[in-house]
Amino acid sequence: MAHWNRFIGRHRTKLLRLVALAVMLSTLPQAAQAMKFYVANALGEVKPEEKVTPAKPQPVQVIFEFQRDGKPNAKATKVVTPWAMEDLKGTGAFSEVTDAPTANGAIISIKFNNLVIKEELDKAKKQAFGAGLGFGLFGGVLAVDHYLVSIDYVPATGAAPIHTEVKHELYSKYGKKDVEVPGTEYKTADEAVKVLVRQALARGVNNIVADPAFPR
Amino acid sequence: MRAGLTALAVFALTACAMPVADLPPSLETVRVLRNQDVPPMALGPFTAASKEVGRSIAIRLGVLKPPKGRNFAEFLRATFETELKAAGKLDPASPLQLGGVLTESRASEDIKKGGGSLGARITLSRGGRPVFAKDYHVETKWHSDFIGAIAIEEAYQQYNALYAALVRQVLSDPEFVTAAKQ
Repeated sequence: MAHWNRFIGRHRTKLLRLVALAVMLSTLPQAAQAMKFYVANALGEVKPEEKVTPAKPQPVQVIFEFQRDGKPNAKATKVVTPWAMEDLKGTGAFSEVTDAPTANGAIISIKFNNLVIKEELDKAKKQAFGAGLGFGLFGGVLAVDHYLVSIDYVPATGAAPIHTEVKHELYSKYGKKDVEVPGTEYKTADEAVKVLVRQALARGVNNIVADPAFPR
Repeated sequence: MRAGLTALAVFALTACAMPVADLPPSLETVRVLRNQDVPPMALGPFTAASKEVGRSIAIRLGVLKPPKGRNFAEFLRATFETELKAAGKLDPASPLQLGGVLTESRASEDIKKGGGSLGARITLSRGGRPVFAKDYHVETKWHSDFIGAIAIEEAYQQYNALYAALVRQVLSDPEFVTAAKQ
């Protein structure tokens, strides 16, 4: 149940709250265990031969915002920001990663937008009710969380931003749903989301550093 | 049976109180403040125009309240502080002081749709002399849900986002920028 609460608190997708609701109705602990999380394989890791590293990394100020349908989600932002900061350090593209202004005025702005696609949501809601009320033993639901990650890097005050976008998906499967998921399974929602954030930022930062306008 | 369980869950998940959460700064306003060379400013007092404006907002059985120890006007001040700090434009010793009165704070829903609005009179003073005053207003609408937990969460997020929208509207307003630079 702890995984449920954490996931709901952090990602706030309507569908998963519905599934949580269904689980709360049940007293069967094994029903909660039926939830599985997958990170889409399509994006993957940045391969060593793709990786671009600046010769002289510079410090950067980070502005990170988690959004749902383009609106700021303050609670999710608070949870994911420390992960994002660590991931940015891990790219090796910057000498310092901070939330304070830097001497060179460089900023990287990341908008991690969780898109809600109404048709998908409506379909999943119907499945979720059926699956939830059957404690996950009859029927199931596969929900997809779509993420559009917009990254802007401003090398110095007054400079034009370098922009890139990365798409990624998180799959959540509950109950008996016989469908092949094009993703890699992780034990917990936290683990899956951490991987999703890391992969999206690694790809986005690599795109930025590879841009000819990135300072060499 | 199914309807009964659903109704039970709807009401079981609706009774809660949640504080609004601090919002991150935005690249857009940080760039405006830096690129236009807006001088650093101090933050003065932010007050509520009336008790009704400053108090908590109820959505079904859920209550949206200001963060601990603050009212909604002070939360607006904190949102300005985040944005100015990120831009390197916050200086408590500056003679230029930004203040505000929260004039409107509303969020409601009727099962199918929701709406919220936020308004404030923003002032600038230099050395104690008023140099700028203007009313700002932002609003939002959304599709609400039958399920209470979802409806409350949606309203929470939509209302919370109004603070960022209002602050960004003020700090990127050419009239505000011009007044700050004079």
